Amino acid sequence: MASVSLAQVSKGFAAGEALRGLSLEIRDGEFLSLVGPSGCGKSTTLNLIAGLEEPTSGTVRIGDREVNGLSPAERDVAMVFQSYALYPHKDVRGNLAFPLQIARLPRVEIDRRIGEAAEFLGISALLSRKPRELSGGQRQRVALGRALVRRPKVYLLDEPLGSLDPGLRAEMRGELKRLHRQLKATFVYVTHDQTEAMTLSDRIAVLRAGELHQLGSPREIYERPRTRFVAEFFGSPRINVLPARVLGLDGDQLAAIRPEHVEVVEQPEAKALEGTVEMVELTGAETWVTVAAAGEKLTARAPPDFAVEPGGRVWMRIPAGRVLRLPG
Amino acid sequence: MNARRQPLIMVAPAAALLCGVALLPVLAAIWISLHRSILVFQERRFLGLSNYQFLLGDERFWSALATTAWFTAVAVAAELILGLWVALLLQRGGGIFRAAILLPWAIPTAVSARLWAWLFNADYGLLHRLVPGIDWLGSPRAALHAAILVDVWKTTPFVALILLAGLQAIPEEVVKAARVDGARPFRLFLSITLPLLRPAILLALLFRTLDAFRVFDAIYVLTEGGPANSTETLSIYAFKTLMRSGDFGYGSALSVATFACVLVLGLGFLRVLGTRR
Amino acid sequence: MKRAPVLLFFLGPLLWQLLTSLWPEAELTRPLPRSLTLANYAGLGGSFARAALNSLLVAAGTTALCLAAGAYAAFAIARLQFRGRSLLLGASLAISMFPPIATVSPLYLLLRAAGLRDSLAGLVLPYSTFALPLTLWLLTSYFRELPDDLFRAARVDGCTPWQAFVHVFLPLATPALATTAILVFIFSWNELLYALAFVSTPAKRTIPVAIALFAGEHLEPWGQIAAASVTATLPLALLTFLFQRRIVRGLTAGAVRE
Repeated sequence: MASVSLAQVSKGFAAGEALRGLSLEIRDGEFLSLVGPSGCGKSTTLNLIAGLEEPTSGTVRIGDREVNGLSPAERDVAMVFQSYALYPHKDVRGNLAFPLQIARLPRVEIDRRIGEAAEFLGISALLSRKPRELSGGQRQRVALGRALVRRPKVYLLDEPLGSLDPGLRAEMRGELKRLHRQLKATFVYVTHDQTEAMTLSDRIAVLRAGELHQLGSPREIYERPRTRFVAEFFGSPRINVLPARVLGLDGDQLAAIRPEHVEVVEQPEAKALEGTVEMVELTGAETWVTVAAAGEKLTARAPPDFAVEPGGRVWMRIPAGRVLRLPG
Repeated sequence: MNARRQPLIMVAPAAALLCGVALLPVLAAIWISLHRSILVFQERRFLGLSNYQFLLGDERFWSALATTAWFTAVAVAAELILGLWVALLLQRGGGIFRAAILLPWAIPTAVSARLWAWLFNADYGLLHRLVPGIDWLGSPRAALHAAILVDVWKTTPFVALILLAGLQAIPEEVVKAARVDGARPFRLFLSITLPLLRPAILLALLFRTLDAFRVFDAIYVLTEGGPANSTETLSIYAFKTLMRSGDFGYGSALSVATFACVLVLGLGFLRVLGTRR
Repeated sequence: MKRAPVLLFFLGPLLWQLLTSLWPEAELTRPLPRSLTLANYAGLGGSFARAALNSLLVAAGTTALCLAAGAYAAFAIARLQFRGRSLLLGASLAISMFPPIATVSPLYLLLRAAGLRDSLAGLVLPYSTFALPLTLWLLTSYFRELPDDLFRAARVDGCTPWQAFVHVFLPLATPALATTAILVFIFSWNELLYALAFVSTPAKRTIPVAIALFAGEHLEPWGQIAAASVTATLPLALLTFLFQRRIVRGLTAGAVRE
C-alpha cells in the first residue's frame, strides 16, 4: 500500500490546459474521491497517476518513489474503468489471469490468486463465462477482480459505477466500501456524482477547470465549503447563495445557507424573513418551498402539513450559526 | 524504453515495403526519364529534359491525353448516374441481389473485356446481331465507346456501393420529417437525398476519376489501343513504348507525365473535398 | 424501381458467356446453338490449369505478405502515438493512387537486377503497391473503432504495445483480417499490367494474362475463350457469393467514416 502525491502537476493538451499546477497528497490506505463537473481534469489526474499520460510539468510520486516516465506496469497500479474494459475474447478466468501472465508469475500463484479474488468477490461460479454472458454487476466484479489479483499499491477507479442502474449502483457502493475496509488499500476514485463521493470517501478533492478548489473530509466539504463552487456542488437541493445583508450579516460579500437549515413557518415571527411562496415541491420525505424574499429566491424546508399555496405569505427562520461566508 | 521504440518498429516493415516498391520506383522513373535508355542496346545516355521536350511536341501523346480525358469524363459520368440508380435498388435488395451486382466488379478485367469482345464481335457477336450496322471494335469512334461501356459495366457496382453507404448514412428521421412536410418522392430525392449524398458522390468521383484516368486492362484486352490508336490511352501508349519498343527513357517520360496528370487531378479533388467538408 | 433491367445489364453478359462456353465450335456462326457441349472445357488443357495455380500462388502470397506487414502497422497507426503517423497514412493513400504504369520501368529494372524478373515471387512485391495501402486503410479504421478503454486496460495490466497487439487486438481483429484478405486476394488475382510486364514465360502466366493473350495461340476460338473465362470466374464468383456481406462492408468502410 502506498501514498500518492502530485506536486505542482500541470498537463496541457493541444486544446488547452487540463490541469494547472495541481498539488495533492493522498494518504496511504485512504479512500479519496476526485470530484467535479466534466472537463475539470479528474480523469486526466487519474491517467497521470496511472502512467497512461505524462505531466507537462510537476512530479508524481507513489510511495516514496518518483514515477515520472515510468510505464503503468512499472508503477504497480491497477485501474477499474467505467466501461469495465473486459477482454471480450477471454473468459473470466482469462481476464483475471492476463495481468499476472504478463508479469510472468508462476502458474500456481496465478491460480491461487484467481481463486482468492473470485471468492472474495463472489464470482467463483462465473470463471468460465465470457464477458458478454455476464450482467452489468457481474462484469463490474470481474473488473474489480482483475485489479485485485495484482495486489497493487494503489487502486484507481474511473467512474466505475456510472454504467449501472440506480438500484445496483447503491448496492455496489456498499460493496466498494466493504472492499476498501477489508483491503486497507489506497483508493483513488473519480466521480461526478456528489452522493457517491460523500458516502464513500475518507476525503474529497474538488476540482474545477484543472484547479483544486478544496480538499477535505466529506463533513468539512459540506459544512465548511471554501468556495462558492464547492458549496453549490454538494447538497441537494442546492445551497442558497445570497447577498450577506439578506441573511443578516454585514458587508457586500456573498453568504450561503443550506435549504435544510431554513425553516418555513406560516405565522409571522420577529427576526424571520418574510416572503412569498413561488413553488412547492413534495419529494416524499421532505417538502421544499421556493420563496421570493428581499428581491432574491430561497429554497427552504417546510413542515409536512404545509398548506400555503403559491402567492401566499410565509416567514423563514434563519439560524445565524448556519450561515456561511463565501469569498467574493 | 522498449515500449517507446515499439511503434516505430511495428510500422517499419510496411513503411519499408511502401518506400521500396512504390515511392523509390517513382523517383527512379523520373531519373530514367532524363536519359536515353534503350534496353536492348544497353544504351544509357543522360539527356536532361529533352525527352520531355519531345513529349510536348509528340502528337501521339496529346492524342492519347485527349482520348484518356474523354474516356474518363464519359465513363465516370455514366457510372455515377447508373450507380445511383443501382444504389437505390441495393437499399432494398437482399444478399443474393448484392452478390449478383458485385460479380462484374469481382472478375478480372481481362475476362470482362473478352466477354464483351465476343458480344461486340463484328461477325457473330450478339450485339452485332441485335443492332447490325455498327462495327463496334473496328471503327475508331465506336471502339472508344465500346471500351467505355466495358468500364461502366465493370465498375458501376463499386460506385453503387459507395453511394449505398452514403444513402445508409442519411438519418431516417430527416427523411421522415421531409415526408411529413409534404415532399413527394421525386422532390424528396432532389432536395433531401441528393444534397446529403454529396460527400459520398464526391468520394466516388475522386476514386473513379483517378482510376479511369489510369485505365489499362480493359482497353489492352479489347483493342490493344486500336484501331489506328483511336483507343490508345496514356497508359497504353506508355506501355507500348516501354515493353514493345524497349525505349525505357521515353517510356518513363510518358509514365511520369501520366503520373503528373493524375497527381494534379487528385490534388484538385482533395482541395474540393477539403473545403466542402 | 424495376430490378430486371439492372440485373439484365450486369448478369446478362455473364450468362451469355456461360452459354458461349457450352456452344459447339462448329455452330458459332449461327445465332443460337443447336446443342450444348463440354468440349470447350475439355480443350482447355494444362496450361490453363497452370495459370490458375500461378494466380493462386501470387494472390495468396500477396495476401500473406500484406497482412503480415500491415496488421501491426495498422495497429500502431490507429492506437499509438509516434512521429510521422499521419504522414504514413497519407503517403500510403497517395501511393494507392499512382498509375501503375509509372512504376513499371524502374520495377522492371529492379526485378531484373534482383533476379526476380519472370518469377511469381517477383510479382508479389509490386502488388503490395496497391494491396498494402488497402490493408492499412481497412485495418486502421477497424482498430480505431475498438473501444478506447481496452487499450488502456491492457496497458495498466502491464502490456507493451506489442503485447497489447498480440494478446488483445489481434484476436479481436479476425473479422477485419478476413475481409482484408478477401479483398486483397480479389485485387491480386485480377491484376494484369504488372503480370504482363514482368512475366514472360508462358508457363508462369497468371490467369488475366492467359486470357488476354489467348488469341495469340489459337485463331479466336470463342468457345474456348468463353470456357476459359468461365473457369477463371468461378472461384471469384464463389468468393463473392459467400462473402458478399464482408466485401460490401470492406469496400464501404472508408466511405461512411469520412
